[in-house]
Amino acid sequence: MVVTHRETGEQICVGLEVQALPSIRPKMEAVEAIGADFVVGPLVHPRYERGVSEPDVSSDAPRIERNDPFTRSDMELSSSEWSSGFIGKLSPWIRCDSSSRRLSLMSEAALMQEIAFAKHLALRAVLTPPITRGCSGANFARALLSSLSLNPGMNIWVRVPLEGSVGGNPDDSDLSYSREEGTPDVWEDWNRLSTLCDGHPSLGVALELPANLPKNALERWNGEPVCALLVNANAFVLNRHGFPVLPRRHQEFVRQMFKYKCYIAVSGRSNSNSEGDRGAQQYIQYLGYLFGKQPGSTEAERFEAPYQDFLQSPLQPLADNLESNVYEVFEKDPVKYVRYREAVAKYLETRKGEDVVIMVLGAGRGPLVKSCLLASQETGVRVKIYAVEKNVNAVVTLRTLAASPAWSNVEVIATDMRVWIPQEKADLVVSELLGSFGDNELSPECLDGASKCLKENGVSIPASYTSFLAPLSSSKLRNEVRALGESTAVMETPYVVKIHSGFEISPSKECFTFTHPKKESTPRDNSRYAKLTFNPSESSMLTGLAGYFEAVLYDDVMISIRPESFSEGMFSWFPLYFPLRTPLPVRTSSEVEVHIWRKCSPSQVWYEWCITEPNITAIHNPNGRSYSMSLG
Amino acid sequence: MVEIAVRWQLNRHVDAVVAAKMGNVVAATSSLNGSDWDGQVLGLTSDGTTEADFMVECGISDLCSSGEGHFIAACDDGLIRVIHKEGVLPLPGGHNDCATSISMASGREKLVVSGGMDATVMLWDLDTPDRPSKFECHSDGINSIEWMGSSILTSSSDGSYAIWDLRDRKLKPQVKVNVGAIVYAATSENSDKVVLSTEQCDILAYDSRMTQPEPLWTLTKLTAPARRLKTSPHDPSTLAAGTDEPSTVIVDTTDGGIKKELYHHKDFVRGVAWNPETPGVLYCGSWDKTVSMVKMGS
Repeated sequence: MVVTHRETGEQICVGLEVQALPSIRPKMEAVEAIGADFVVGPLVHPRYERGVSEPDVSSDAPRIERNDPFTRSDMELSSSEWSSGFIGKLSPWIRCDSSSRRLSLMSEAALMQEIAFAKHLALRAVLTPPITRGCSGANFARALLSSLSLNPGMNIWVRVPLEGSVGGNPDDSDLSYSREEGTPDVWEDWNRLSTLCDGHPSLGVALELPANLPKNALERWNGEPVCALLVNANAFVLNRHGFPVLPRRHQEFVRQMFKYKCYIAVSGRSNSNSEGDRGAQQYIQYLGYLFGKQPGSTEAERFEAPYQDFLQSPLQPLADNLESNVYEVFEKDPVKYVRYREAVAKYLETRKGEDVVIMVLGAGRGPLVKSCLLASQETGVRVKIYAVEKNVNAVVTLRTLAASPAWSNVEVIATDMRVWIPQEKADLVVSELLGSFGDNELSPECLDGASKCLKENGVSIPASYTSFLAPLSSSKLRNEVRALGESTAVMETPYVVKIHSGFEISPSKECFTFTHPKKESTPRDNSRYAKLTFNPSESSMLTGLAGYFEAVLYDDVMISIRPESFSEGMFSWFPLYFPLRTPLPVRTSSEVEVHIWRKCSPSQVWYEWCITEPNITAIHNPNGRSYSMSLG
Repeated sequence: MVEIAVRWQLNRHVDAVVAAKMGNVVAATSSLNGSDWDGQVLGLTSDGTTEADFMVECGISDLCSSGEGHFIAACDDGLIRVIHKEGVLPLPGGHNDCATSISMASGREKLVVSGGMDATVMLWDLDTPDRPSKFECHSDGINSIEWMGSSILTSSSDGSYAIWDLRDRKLKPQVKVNVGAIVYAATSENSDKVVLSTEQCDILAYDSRMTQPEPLWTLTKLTAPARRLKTSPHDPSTLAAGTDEPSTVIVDTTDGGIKKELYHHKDFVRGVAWNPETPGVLYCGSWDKTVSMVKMGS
């Protein structure tokens, strides 16, 4: 059932996994009749072992010759039915890592054959048997990788059963002996396979949700390419009206996964519901209902949606002039300019009865000037505003506005704030030069250059800003970076990105702080170094660092893009992502030690970064060889 | 001297054979490729003809006799079906994946156990079949299940075989041994020994009381795993193994020696059954879509 959200128009597909598929067309029709959008079923009869190698020459056994088709013909369904309505399961007996050479060879041959056939049918994906626990999986990974390169565009989803906590639902089984505590987390097995396959972009996870969800953090799967959820029929419980529903934690997790647009399938036979397909219909309807009652998206979410996990190069407003559409997008922010107005008003409150000189440094098309004028109106404090802007194109807008009576106290200065010699000094400088990582659009250098404009005891809005870094696990972002090319430059450039598929291994920590005007105690120059130590909450794969900022505009008026203190509704900044050339496995027991430098030369500023614990990486971006911010 | 006395040509892959009275045999067959993957249970008479047949909507991987003229089939859709003259009746409940193995207790109680690829064992009392029990007892698919008195013997792809005490309808572990993925486990010599067939193509025997941790013997001559092991009802130290070589191998379980090797099938031998009435008569079913009756001289 393709479910469309009433408000957002977003869609999800809900399907049904079947164990046996004695005939395909009647089953497809039956499944469609109960509202399922697709079937997850065997591609080849699950017991049909084949790919037998040559018999041992010493054996008298006859050679097995089979001339039958190894599975049903592609003519059973139309090509569109195959591609939209069927996800093929690989044979469950495939064990490429069996210590039996015979089975290993048979498995590899069958795996290659089935994936090639799935490609022939143009299936959306094939689903592997459950990932083998606690084994290297090297042969399986090699065969998968080989198939992926022979069948480009074929998606392979690895079945990963989330294991339930021990001693959970007593109705689920009478007794259970095999699930011992202390068995390694299934994520480790997935991570090993994913690493062996070098995080191939066509390799996804199909997470199987049992009746009892594991105790450990499920958020970690946000960083993995989860493409499908297989919800076990036994996970459903009856509500007081007698309808099957999912328990709260399942609901939360399924909702969390909705945003990744996973395929969702109901899987398995319910122990309590013997109604077969009709029982499954209730589960499918429930999942559709759960999706439909999700709240609609906010203005900020709608704005962000096309940018999710989309890498952008950071702006270089000092070196390049921004274009009209860029100004237009950022001026729409419903939060930022309100906060600036509050901050300016709060300052003006302290200057009641005085005439205040304000300089707006980097005035753009005038939004900050407007905030200052509004604050002046609110407080009744008279102001004289100098709007300083180096972009001659934006100056056209400023001068047009300045011609209106409302802007009679605004003077437009078309020059670079660093070279301007003002005739009078300012009580307050207001600027919006912050980047995603605070100082990465060279706010410190610009404001240093403009410090001569400020009276002694003058005030800057923002008063200070601090960058934050968090270790991040995101196979999606890793692949997005690699999609730009495998060059060193691509791998050590920070990107502005709305991080969607990612998991913060540990909360962010303070990195660099800049204060304006400079205090005696702060360093004279703007180079910085920070060593940060993190304690991972879960074992995971470190693929990069997520950068945020918090800024104190004035007194207690703040803006922030750090998740913990985020200014709700603000969309002017997405986080900055510092990739690592090679992902690093981290464990809960180990620390992650990050080093980051902000380096300055007369012509440019850049970051360098590296990891020294639990493993060592090379220093990324030495001397700004791959990425720097130009002061020119 | 070995004689292939009768050969029945069928239309589907044979996965299990069960000896019936009067030299007859019942075969469980499945279509494992082609358009429809259905199953059929056939009664085969000793004169080489087919007496009765029952269609099942999906494939059948194992079959046992209920002792009352009925047969019980472990099916690919996870269901267990009772096959009797009037028709085919599924038992309530079922496995979450293909059912792979089935066994009926020989005592007075009408207890049926089945194993599945879902790593569970299910237990039905045929007098009260609507209340099955399900036990999670392995961490990977169960490949064989067999009664040993009031206990059951299971083997699994998780690398272990286990003996479980089933008194009081509870599953209590008695012995669990890890030897690598096992495709079949059978008892021999009046349950003194457990004979295992492994994915590594070996057949090996353990003392069933596990008085010593090492195998009593290991047969390493096979080039493909044996998927069925059946002990002769007339000679408790003779065991027939149906293999994927394809061959039928007669093993002396006192020392693991091969008594005979038969190569009369052209594809996997997946069904093996001894005639309970006449010593030395063995039925073999194969994926070459035939069932054979083999007479072995002493």
